[in-house]
Amino acid sequence: MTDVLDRLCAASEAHYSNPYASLTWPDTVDLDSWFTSPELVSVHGTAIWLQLGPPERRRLSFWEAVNFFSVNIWGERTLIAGLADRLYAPGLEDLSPYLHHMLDEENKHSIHFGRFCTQYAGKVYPDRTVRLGPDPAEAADFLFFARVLIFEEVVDRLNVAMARDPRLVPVARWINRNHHLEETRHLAFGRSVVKRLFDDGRRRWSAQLISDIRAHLADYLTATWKQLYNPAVYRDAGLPEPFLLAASAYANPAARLRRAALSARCVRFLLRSGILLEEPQP
Amino acid sequence: MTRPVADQAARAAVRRWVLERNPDLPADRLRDDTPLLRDRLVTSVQVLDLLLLVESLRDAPIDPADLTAGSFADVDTIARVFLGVGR
Repeated sequence: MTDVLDRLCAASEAHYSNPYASLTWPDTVDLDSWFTSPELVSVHGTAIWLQLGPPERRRLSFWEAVNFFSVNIWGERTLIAGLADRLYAPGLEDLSPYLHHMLDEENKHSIHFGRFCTQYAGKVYPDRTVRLGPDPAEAADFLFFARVLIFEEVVDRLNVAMARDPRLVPVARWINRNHHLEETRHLAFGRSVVKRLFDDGRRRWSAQLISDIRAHLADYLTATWKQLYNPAVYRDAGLPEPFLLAASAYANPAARLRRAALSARCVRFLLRSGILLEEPQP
Repeated sequence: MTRPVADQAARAAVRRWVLERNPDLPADRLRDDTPLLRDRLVTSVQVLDLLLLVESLRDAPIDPADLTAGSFADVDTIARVFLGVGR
């Protein structure tokens, strides 16, 4: 793993950037534009999508982008807190040089996400996740890095698709592209550290704990996706019955297929590494 | 005293949601004071789903800043805290 860490640290140093100078932000954005690829809008393929005209679809794509970036802000806040907790922690000392880079880069991503949300929408959607208690101490590091990996894998697939989409306004496309470029390194780090911690941990964890871990991570993948079906988005876009719509959009077969396709790389890693034994259905 | 229909319907919807996620749990073992979190009938990652169900039932958003683990302790608490009904 030392080679991986050295390579990733060198790449982060070579790509060190000033988050305030890396993008020229337009004062305003035209809401009659695409901010989320239409095929990735959460209600795409549902009856309500067919009822919307092009301007309504584009306006919805704006609020979907605000939610996507908000979800990233809250995910990165959790990530930053967990990384800071683990700097030079016993047993993880060798990771610390790269943890410094991740902390720096994740903070910069949140600056971009936060500026988009506050400048163009005037708000960040609140975090809808609730933690009910701490992780089991003997698996806390593994669970932290595994959740981070799952979250980053999911958002990265969306980043990649939208970075390539010429229909998106330049500022939305740039944020997706920049996030993907740095997340590529974080994902390489995440896969290495998650595999190492799982291989170490499974030798001493009870069968019950391993079973609980598997159930938790499968649930976490689902919960990550569910954050992208936010009733507040539908309300802001003027859609009726936003709470029912969130549930029905999530259950829509087209959405299920989309989630499965975009989760495939993450699921493949979790199955190959033995972390999951069955394919989850997010 | 008989509870209002809306109260009963809301409680039934929450109980149904819990039972769907715990197929091994017999319906008659789930009471309105059964500890959902302590008995691990609801996990932290499922709370997002439960939140959406409760928002649907009351047809109004819940400020996530108001949420604590205790808010989802059991069906009685959910009904009282979020749905404004119950004992």
